[in-house]
Amino acid sequence: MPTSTSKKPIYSVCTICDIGCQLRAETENGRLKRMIAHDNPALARNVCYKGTAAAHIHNHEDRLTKPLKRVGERGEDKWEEISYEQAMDEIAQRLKKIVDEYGPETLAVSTSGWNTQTTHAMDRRFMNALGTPNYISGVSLCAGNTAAVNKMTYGWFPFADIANSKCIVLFGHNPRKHSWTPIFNMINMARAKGAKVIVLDPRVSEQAEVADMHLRLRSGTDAAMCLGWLNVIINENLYDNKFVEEYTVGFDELCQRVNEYPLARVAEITGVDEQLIAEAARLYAGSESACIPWTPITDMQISSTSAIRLHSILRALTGNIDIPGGEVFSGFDPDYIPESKLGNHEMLSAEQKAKQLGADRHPAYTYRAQEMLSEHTERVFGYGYADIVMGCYMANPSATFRAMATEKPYPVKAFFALGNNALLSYPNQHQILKGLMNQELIVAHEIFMTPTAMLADYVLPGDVFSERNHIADAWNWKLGLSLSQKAVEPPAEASSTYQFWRDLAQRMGFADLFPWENIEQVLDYRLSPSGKTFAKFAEDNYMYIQPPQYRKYRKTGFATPSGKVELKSSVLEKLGFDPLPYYREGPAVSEEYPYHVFTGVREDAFFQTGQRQVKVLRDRSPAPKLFMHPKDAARQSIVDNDWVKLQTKTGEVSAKVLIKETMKEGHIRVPHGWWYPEMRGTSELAGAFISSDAVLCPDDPEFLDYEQGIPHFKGFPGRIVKLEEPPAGISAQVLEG
Amino acid sequence: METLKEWLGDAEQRLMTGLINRTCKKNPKLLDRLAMYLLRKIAGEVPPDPELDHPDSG
Repeated sequence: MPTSTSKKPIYSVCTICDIGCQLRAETENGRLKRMIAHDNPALARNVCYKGTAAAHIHNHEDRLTKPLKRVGERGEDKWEEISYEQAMDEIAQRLKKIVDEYGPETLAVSTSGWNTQTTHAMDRRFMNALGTPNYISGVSLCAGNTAAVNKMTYGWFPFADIANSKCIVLFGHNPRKHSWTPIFNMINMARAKGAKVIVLDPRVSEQAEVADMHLRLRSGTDAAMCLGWLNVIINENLYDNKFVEEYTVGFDELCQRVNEYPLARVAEITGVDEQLIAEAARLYAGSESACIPWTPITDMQISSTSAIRLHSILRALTGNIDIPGGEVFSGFDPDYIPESKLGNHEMLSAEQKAKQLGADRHPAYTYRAQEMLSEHTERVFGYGYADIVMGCYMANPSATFRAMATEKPYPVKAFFALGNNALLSYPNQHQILKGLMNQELIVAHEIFMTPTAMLADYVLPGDVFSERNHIADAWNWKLGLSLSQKAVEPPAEASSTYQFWRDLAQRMGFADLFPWENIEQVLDYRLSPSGKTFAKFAEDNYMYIQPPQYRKYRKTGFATPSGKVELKSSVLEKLGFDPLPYYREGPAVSEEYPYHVFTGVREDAFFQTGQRQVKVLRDRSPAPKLFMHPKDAARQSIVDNDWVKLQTKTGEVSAKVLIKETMKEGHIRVPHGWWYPEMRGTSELAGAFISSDAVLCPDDPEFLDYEQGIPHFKGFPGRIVKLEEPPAGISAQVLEG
Repeated sequence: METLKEWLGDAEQRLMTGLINRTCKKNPKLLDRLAMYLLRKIAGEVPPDPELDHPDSG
């Protein structure tokens, strides 16, 4: 049989993780043969071994290819194959019945464009047409929440211009060769041009090893550290006086607050020497340009809102706003209709928006807080709803799962998870399970069977990035349109999330809101301001970046109620919160629970809860490993590869120990998202409760950030118990790995 | 009021973006090829990386 291979380069945007590297696909006989690095030298280093494993993932024998309907008890993992049409008809019929009984807000959806890629905000469009505000997402813990909080201070979520920066500050963030690869490369580029790098991390991370300065702060104390830096910057007059005078409000009040945090106090809280704190602050403030790139670490702390705001305030006070090498405010791409618009947020009534779960206690990223910015966003950016990285109009996940479990404040009885293993992705996994078990309808849209999908009534097979066309725009975080071309056909009945929402909308009576028959038509529509079609864009380029414009605020002001950078937040004040940033101590360790535990940590081989069934990746990381300091391990007579239980008041996980000098004493690092696909059929939900870090972190009110309701993933108390035997049923690969 | 230093810094970035855009064209003309030549000079060639290979990838 003759072999048919692709002749022209096929350009792809990888979606195995969330960073969006541009790669090239090679096909053979209608199958993806391999994914390789880009041929443009500016993009060619942006590739990791997850990306080059794409063919192993996309062609995997366990890919879901047919719609499945539950035939056993919920979670029993027994299914019958049905047609896509039957699945969609039944889902629509059951959803209608549930909505009629409980109201539209009874539907909650957990998803993210990071994972599904080609939803084009049709999830929000559908939900807004139906009348439910209960969209939750992993971005509530990672980047999306940061976007929402950044907007409160200066009206947008800027992207750090790392490659051109003279000083890069990494708060716990550890971009490396195979995780956040483009960020890693940008840091290296900047470093090659003389940039200084400051790392603030309890561990000696890979970035810390080569940093110019490393501050080993206690985990969860980012806000205190930032207040210490501000103390130095303000009291030594290292700030940009002109910028502060012309473009900020609340400076005097901020100074008062900052003076409550003298360096001695900050040193005591963070465990870092006063002189070192001062030197780092001076280096940051004294650099010609400097940036504090987004970090998932600051996102997940009990003082997260304050700490994120403090990053913004540091940027503003040092004049690093919207300049080369600083933090760039892209605004909407004039050539591409943003997802913010496609989501149709105007359509949802005020009455339904007010029902958004969690908005009463923790409103920061909900409609309640974000709509206070709408008229200002419209004034500056031309459109009122800026849903940057999908994070600005979300319900609170903990409040949502609580409502699913308890039916308070109202029943949530239908749950859709698209490209989202919700059971393992949010804190308090036991409550999530309880909520899922209390549903009348669960739909999962996935490429593999996951523990969450095992709990569903219907599982629909999803497509992957080599099987569809797309133009990636980084969800409005930065300018630039990148082409991703369909290389092969999706298997059997696998289809996109766009198709799912359109097909459901047609059955629910919203067909007129979804006039585009396929993704290419959506892309034509989105590109219409540029005068190009998708076909024309794809014919002309694989990437196009708008020429940058800087210091736009000089003409437009900032998209805040005052039109200035709000060092004292009028939005937070109106909502009844402290309008100035502060530090709040996390839950204390004790004799019973002596370790500071931090979870949510990414491993190179995997993205979130994915890829454990992909051999070439699993071989690189066969088992979950807890990191411990040698002194802590010795005290408990633990050696490398011992099995232990890490216990908190909320739950426990089993894992192997890796003793590392680079850990800070008294700290335990837990990898994120572990389950065991190989245990499907032999262990409940494929081992979803053996090693998953989501069982550990509590989400009771006292453990949550006040303004967003973010749990304290970085430094909650726990203890280690050595196990005599590994957990039952664990595979040989895990035991040996 | 924009200073000369600001203008020069901004112009450099706009120039770089223009150069990158030219290198991302699928049917490059002479100036686009020149841009690619310059980019190769700046970015350097990227050697093959065995860490990216998987045991049974082609």
